[in-house]
Amino acid sequence: MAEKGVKVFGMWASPMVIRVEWALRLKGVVYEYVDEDLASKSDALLRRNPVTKKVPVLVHDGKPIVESTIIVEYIDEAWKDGYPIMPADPHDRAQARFWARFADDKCNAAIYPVFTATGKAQREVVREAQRCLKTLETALEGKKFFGGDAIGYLDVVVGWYAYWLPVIEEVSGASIVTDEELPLMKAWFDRFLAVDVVKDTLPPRDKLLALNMARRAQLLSA
Amino acid sequence: MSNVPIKGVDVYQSSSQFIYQFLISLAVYINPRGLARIIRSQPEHSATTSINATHVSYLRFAHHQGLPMAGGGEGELKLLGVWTSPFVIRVRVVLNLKSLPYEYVEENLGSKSALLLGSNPVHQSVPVLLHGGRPVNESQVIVQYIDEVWAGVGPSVLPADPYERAVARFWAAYVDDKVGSAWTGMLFSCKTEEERAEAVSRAVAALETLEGALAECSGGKPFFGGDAIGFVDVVLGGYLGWFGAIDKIIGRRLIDPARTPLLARWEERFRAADAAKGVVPDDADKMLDFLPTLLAWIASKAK
Repeated sequence: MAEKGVKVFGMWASPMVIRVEWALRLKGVVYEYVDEDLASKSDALLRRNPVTKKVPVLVHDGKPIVESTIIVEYIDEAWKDGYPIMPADPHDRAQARFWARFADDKCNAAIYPVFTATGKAQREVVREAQRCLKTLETALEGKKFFGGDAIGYLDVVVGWYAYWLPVIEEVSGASIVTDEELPLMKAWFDRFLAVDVVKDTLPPRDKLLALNMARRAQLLSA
Repeated sequence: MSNVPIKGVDVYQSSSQFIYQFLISLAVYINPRGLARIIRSQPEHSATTSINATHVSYLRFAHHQGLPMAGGGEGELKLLGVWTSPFVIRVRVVLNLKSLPYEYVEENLGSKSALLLGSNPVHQSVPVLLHGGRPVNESQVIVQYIDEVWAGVGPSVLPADPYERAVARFWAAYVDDKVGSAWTGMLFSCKTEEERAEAVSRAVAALETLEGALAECSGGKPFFGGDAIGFVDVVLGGYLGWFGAIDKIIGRRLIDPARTPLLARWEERFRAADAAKGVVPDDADKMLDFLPTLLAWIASKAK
């Protein structure tokens, strides 16, 4: 009995999960979405990803694929006749992968502290986050999207900033991506969120805001 | 047709061979993917090797003549590195697997060259691959770049099947995450012997997981990549030089044949491979002698 179809194990507020959904929707792939309670993970999830036990997990015809950036590349290769996610040229692909690593390793590490920092400490971490994002921003110069005229791999990987950073800013009272400090990135945020596949997949902002406010309060009181 | 010497290498022996090879290279130029498909579908024997050799010969000839280089990429290869770096070593193994000639430049990270700083301004680290002068950074990115640009040349490092590629990428990421962070802990960031011991136990735990991964991925064959060295093999293999040195520091083997027998046999096979010769260090003392230099470089960066 061969399992057929596409299933995504995720969590509605996770930016790593949304990358996978954006990639699937760009390819027009129909999938079943399974929302997980990360405090009480399902047996199905743990069976599919015993090594890291995290979401997202993509299950394609019974085979599990984990790690969001790896899943996105898999989707591009498995549905190779659909929308092109990775750039065609090998050097452009190397650049896209390089920046994706930079964003996930450096930018995310610089952004997370903003969430709970306050006062003078917050100004320091905001400056560090802006430094990282300014470096990433150089990959946007002269282009509508990181992928060029249309969104591509790097847009899918860092696109969550466009929706989640304003929420983090609102929750923490910080100001990271401004017209003065990061004009290209700010303009890209607007263009990215206007893309149909993107705007049709976003979690409700009020729910996301409430979740992050509660999370922040919890972390600050710990 | 007379011989066309290229940097002392005579590529063509006769006019008929030249015509044959020119037609092949024309086919490559018109349809490089088609040729790559032909190569991948051939059983592993001399026919494939001769097409590959022809292809490489064409590349060298074309480069010299300034002809378009379809399916192989234009331009010289230069690798900036440090001989002990696991990240540099894996790139060198891949270049060797594909028999790609390159210039190797040993970098002094205490006094970084203008070329390094200009090629990798974001991280200012090695390895940096320069291809026709254009930099490619991040070792796993570089390995995939080489595999894609020289897809028809020599063995493939990543599998062809998308699912198998995803599995290989997963384990490669796992290696650099778990083994890599433990490696940093064991050598560079530990300030006490307790901290080093903690890092060692993290490394051993990761290697035990990788023992299971090897059993699964290899299906009883010699490497994570199966019959031949693949992506996970080169990524983990890059650390072997340091494992030998760390074994001396801690007085026992990280890859313990009693706990991880498959990995212990894998290590022997990997070290014995032609592609690893001369790039995977086997002199633990030499590495330990170099460690203070590395620590000094790290300390100066921290200022």
